[in-house]
Amino acid sequence: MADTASGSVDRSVQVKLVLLGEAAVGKSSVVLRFVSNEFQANKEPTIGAAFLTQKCRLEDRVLRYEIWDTAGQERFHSLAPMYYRNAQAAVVVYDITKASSLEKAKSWVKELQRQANPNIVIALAGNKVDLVKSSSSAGTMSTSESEDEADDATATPGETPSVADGESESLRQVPREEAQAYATEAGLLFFETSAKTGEGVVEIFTEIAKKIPIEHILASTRGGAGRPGVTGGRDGARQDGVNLDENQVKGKDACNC
Amino acid sequence: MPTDNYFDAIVLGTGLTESTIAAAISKAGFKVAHLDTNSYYGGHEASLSLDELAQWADVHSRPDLTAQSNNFSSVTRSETVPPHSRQYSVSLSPSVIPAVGPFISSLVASGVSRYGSFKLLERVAIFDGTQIKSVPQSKEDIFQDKTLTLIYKRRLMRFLMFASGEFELSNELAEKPDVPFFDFLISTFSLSDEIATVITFAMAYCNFKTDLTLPALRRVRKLLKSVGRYGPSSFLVGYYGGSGEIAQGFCRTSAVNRGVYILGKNIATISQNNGEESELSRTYKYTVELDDFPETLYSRCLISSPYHLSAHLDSITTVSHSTPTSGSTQPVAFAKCIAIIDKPISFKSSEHVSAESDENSSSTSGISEPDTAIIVFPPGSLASGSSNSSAHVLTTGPGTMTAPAGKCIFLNHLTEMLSDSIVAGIIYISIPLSSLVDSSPEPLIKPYLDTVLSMASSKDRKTEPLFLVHYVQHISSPEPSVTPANTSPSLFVTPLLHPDLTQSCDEAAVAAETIFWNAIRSLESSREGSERPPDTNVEDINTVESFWPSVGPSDDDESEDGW
Repeated sequence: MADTASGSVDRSVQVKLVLLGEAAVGKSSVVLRFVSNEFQANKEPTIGAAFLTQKCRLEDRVLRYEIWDTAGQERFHSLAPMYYRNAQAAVVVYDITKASSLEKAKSWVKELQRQANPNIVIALAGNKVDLVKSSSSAGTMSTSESEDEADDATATPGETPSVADGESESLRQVPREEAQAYATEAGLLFFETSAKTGEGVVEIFTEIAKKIPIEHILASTRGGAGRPGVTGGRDGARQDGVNLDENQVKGKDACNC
Repeated sequence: MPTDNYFDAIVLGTGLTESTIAAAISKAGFKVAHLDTNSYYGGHEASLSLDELAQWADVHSRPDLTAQSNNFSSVTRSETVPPHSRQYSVSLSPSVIPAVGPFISSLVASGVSRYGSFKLLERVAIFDGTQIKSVPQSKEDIFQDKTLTLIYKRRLMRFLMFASGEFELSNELAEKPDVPFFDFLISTFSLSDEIATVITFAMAYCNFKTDLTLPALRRVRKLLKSVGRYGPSSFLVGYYGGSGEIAQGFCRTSAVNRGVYILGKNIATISQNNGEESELSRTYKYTVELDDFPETLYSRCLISSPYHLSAHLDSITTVSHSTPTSGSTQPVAFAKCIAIIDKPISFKSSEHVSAESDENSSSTSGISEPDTAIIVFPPGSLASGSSNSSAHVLTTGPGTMTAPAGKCIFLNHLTEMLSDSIVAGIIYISIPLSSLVDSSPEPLIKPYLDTVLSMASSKDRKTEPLFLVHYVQHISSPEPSVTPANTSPSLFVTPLLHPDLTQSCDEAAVAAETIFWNAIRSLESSREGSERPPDTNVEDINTVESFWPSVGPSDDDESEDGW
């Protein structure tokens, strides 16, 4: 790895992250919150963006997430294999106020295990937590989220919620413990999030960053010196790949990082 | 939303041409529903895992042929599918991409190039009757070639100058318009048989010795223009099976521009309304119902691959077959073979390029193992092979992510292998047929396959394919041009792509652009004064000015590095 050390100063590691989940659980909103710290109520399904990028700093490393939205292709089970290719991370989103969306999330996890790179880091995100709690308690819950905590969650799956957080908790259909138990069993990171308030959103991406085998990615893309942005994070075999856009005028700097 | 199932266009089939059209129409601001009866993307150009390939072979070898499998016959496969099926991406339409041409322009202009990965084709070689020789890829290579005499180098250079220019109006061509290319090279440029053979089959990629001069010259010119754009080779190879992967990229582009995707549903009915019931049905004249799908889909125009069409639309259309151009033999079908091997194909640094000038050789022993290569067998080059047809072979390996490499891949061979050196690869063989055969293509393919396999064998171990698929792919002759039964031109059928190694991608791009413009004209003319369903946004549709709109800010959020 001698040759990676020299370039490590400004070298960011490209990580492809795919979003999955039932329609309208807030996949795009979670990403929008992460990428531009915004929230739009009644957001239209995402249009026109091939993928979004956001940097994530982790100690001395910088990860550059390339976040792929399903673009609606999941609606009729028509996601192309290309979508999963070389994804190093996935966020599977469900809506905590809709029990069926967790079942859907589980089937996406299965699909990832079947289709995707075997080392993929998967995070399960129960979104819309703002709907079931008073605003005062928002933000206290997820910041300490970690894998360790997952081990404490030994509640029986399927059990009814134990925490009643005011009357709005009645909207909740997926008990936190149930989802947590499933995530632990399936080896997923787990968070409850609110794209609306921002709760838990950044944490997903930081925790994923910690689990990504960065050294491995760097090692496999060594040959890509000079254009780490292109070769990084995809596959090792890309070192002699050709960038078709090279002869083109460079796109303008529209990145919202 | 009530307008969810009203579309400007319904596109049937996710082959390369249809996918390109869907992306372009979506990008132009029209609402597209894109359907395929297969559960995979890519149609006849799909990239499949080995399991999927085996399944494809089974479906297409059933005697109760569905409409779309009419294009394939004599499909056979090995019984056992090797392990790690998903690590393979096998192309049903193996092809390379000319570095200059309409297809690559579309890839770049549409932004789809960002979804794919590409590398240069590493080697073009030709079998001269006794051995495999590298074909020079540039003028420099020719200069350094020690086997050519000076006089032939001069003649060759003269031809290359001619072929890279505006030869259409030249005297050389005017004198002999209907001469086969091979004869033209010999009579007009006094080239030797050997050089003419290389140019005819490994530069112009002619199918038969009788192929005409003008189209062949155009292919040579394109090749010469392509050299140097991205590197020394004229061709690029797309990762993960090329066309099938790129088709997925076009589909994603359509999807991020509101395209709706429904795969794996059989089409129950397609009908054309005559507008008697309502204004709405006059505008949205096509109705598509799918099995197992609750909604009926309506659209203003319909674009279909020929094989989706045949089962449903014959009743409302008249398909006119144009007569094939006379004068030269045209292929009516291709005998094809896909072989999976567990050894790389190795090339000896032949005398054709002398040892000291051969910098491509990756090892010192004079053996190189290119990840991707084209090997051309001219007609008559193999005693037991075809005397009329040339055979085109494409080999791909792990470098283009089409086959696995590395540890513990073939556990069934545990005893003899210490894993790391294992490199799997795919051999594609394609032989044009000038007349239809009912018999299996295997005997025809075999001598070619054996020759290529011998390049992957060592003295002590003969390489046998791990998995084999043979089939005949028909060019439903010729391209169907469809005229809708009534006068309104709102039904478009994409031409069946020729499964041509070097031309099919560009052919798809050209066909896609033609149909795109026809569809846009149809959509724009019917927009005026037509009845639309409630709450449809009309205002966000502008006049379409180009096949691919210039890249706007919403398209390149990720352009930080300009890639």
